[in-house]
Amino acid sequence: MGNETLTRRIEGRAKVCGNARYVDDIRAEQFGSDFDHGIIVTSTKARGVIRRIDSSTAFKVPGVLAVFTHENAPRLNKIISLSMAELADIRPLQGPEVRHYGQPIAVVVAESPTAAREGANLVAVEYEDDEGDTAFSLAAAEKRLKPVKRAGMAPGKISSGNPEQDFEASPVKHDAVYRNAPHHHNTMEPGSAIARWDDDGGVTVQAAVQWQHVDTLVIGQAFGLGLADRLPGFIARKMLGSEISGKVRLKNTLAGGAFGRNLTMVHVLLACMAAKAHGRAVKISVSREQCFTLFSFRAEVRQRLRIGAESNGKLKSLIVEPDVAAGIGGSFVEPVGAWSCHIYNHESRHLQHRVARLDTQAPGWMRAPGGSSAMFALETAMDDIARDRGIDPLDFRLMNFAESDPESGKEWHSNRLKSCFDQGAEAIGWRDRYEGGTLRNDGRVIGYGMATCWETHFQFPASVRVRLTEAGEGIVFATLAEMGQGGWAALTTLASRSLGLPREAIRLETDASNLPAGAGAIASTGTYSNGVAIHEASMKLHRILRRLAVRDRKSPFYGKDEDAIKFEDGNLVGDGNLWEPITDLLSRHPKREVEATATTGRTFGRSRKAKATFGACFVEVSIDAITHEVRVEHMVGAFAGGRIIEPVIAKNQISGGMIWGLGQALMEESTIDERTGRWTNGNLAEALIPTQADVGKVSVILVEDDDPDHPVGMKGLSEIGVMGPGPAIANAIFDALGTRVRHLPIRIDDLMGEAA
Amino acid sequence: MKKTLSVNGVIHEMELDPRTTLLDLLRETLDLTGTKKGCDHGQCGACTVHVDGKAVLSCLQLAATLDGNVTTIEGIGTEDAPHPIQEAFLKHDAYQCGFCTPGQIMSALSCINEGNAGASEEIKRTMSGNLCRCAAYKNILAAIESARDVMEAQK
Repeated sequence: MGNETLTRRIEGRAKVCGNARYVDDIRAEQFGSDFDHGIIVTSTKARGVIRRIDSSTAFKVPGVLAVFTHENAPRLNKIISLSMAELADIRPLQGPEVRHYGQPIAVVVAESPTAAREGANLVAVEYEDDEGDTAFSLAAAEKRLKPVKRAGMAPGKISSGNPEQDFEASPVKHDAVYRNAPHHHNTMEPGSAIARWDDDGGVTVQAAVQWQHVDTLVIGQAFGLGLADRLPGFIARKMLGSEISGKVRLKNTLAGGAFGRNLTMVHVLLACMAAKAHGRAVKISVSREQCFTLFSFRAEVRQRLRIGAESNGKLKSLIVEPDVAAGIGGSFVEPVGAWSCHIYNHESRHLQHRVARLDTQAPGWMRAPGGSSAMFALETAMDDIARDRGIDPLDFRLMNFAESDPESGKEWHSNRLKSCFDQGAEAIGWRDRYEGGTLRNDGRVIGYGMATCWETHFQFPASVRVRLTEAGEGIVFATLAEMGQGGWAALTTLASRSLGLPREAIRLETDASNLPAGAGAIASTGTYSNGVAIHEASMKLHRILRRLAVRDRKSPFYGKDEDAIKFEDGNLVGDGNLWEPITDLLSRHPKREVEATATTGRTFGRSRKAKATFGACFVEVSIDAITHEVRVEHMVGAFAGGRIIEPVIAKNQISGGMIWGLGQALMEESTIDERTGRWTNGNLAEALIPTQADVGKVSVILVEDDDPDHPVGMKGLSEIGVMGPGPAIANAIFDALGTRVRHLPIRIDDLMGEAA
Repeated sequence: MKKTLSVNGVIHEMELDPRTTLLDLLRETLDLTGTKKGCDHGQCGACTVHVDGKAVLSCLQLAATLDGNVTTIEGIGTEDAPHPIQEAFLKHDAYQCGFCTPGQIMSALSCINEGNAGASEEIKRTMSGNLCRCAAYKNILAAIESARDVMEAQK
């Protein structure tokens, strides 16, 4: 190997040299057997019943081996997915009903991908039309709206005090409706899955998933393989109640991006189905266009937000009423509301989500779920009130700073929001900025805006096994997904620090279902949840080693005080220059290695205190005075997210998140045909996402923060960057032009007619 | 049809289905899986390779009509001896998930070689055909600027 200091990423060299294999790059040699190739045929109607599927022309293509439809595909059992993005009543190929555009209706299996693709194009489908009402947007689904009790992992309803009365009595009232467009994850990797049924009746699956045990369990349930795997004890007891078969062997692979999409994916199930019916291993590859209908996306949200405040600017009541689009199945609801109630001091609150089921596939988790829309509304409203009152938007936020969590009344674990404000403001020059609307000599009008960022934390259950070997290696065994945001690198560093071993001595074993159930790489919690388990297992190992040393006559620590032994750089270290390499101690151990397991997060990190990552986002925009084209010149994000394990990687991740926020602010929207339910911009040329040229200067500041109550001092980082730029850019546009836009994305036509 | 093609300096003679794209040929026939299929429609840049040193979207190029020497990510450097552009991507953490990275690197290399890596605005414009959903753009830009300096010093 070359210079190790060049990268902290375990898989970094392979990635830049083209050697990192994603699922579509896996060949027979890596998978362990040959496989045929499957292509999914999708419906060209949103509602209807399949009258006939004619595969005869497809079979004329040389190399086409089989076509599976609802008539001959394996039957599946009911599935409950812990991800909530469940397939439940939309299990594929189970009947002739078509319930959304682009629904899988057949799989063509062939000797080559080309033959499968050609065959798939030749499958002829006749539908019986269903004349029932359809609705593809909230605007068309007023009658379908229903109040809900839960939204994602958050409450769907909260009420405290007399918010309506307080609002009516408030001298300052904000009452507005905010809208966020639906949009897709658009991971660069479209997605593939390979499945093979083995002689023992089990199935081997190669896929890239964010939460291995959830997908393992989905497959196990679908095929009646009993309880798929070693879920953390409490889930096993609660959800499953019996033994686990271990017959689903999911080999998890590097993901080419995931962002919430790679949970309970239908093509993984279809690969298992096709392989079972075909009697041979099958790989299914999804096309880019299919990504828009086979997988989840971020739901459309519309919310009415009312804020009542005193004339001095202090917030009094908060009434949040999000209407959220859902799809034809799944229990996921974009968790919009709860966020707004945690950020600023206020006295009374009311939150009520309503959900309308649309005739689309189910929306699901997508980076900063809920937060993106919640913070857009709240932070735009805060800007609005501040400017109305003639108060600087930053001062207005400071005025309403919450010393404790307003919703729960709990004290914060740590709250460095004010430092985020200070450092962010300084970096963009907030206090001596040009006045909004100033015309630059290049014909562009400038404006500044800001927003608070906030993100709550769940600690997810995680089990890990850590082994120390005679060779001096520290091996961490757990299902740990790497979707690109750097979890492996951070956990390697964390294990090295917790174990007191050099970083090079740490190895992660992550890919197989029979490993202990690591927490999923979801909701900014993967590194944090797994990190705690690794730390706890490491502490157990230290206790074992200390005990071994003081009882081992050959150890310099024999008979010494156990508690005085520390671990540094692969050695046991004690008072008075006493030391011994761990490798020496273990070489005298009968097994030559020691192992410890730990399961943490059983209570989802429940605590007497409230925990959150805080941040502040500041932006400078320039807008062409004639064309109204908006350019984000500079985005600053200052974030206090606990102890940072890998600063370079963390900054990269957060900067990417901020650019996601920029995309939401100015470009990202999946548009749907109101007549047919087809995503009309279902490709990467028309569904805009930020490119290199769209991105101006991005500054990420990691504000020093340490959670003293937490064993590794960590919080989550993955999503905190995403939610600030949306409102901050909207506020900067208002600053520049005086035009208030209350929906995202903001397009040039929203700004026309408001010439500077 | 019969086809002879030079890829990374190796001459391959093969029987070719005339419908095959260069991308599918590289990935499925030659097992050069470093070149990625992100959209198959020339919209994302993940499949970028060089033909006679010029950046080409291999998903839009029929292999049968190809004339020239193909270079892929596997042909410019190895994990033990990376090309300066690969080293710069490592040093600047210019990737996250890594799926777009081979395409970014091949485009970056032609951006530098063709003299389009002067001002940062020029690099940004030239590189905007390569999407990165992790949005490691800031570090990609820094990597290209640093590789440009290294490569110019080596000339």
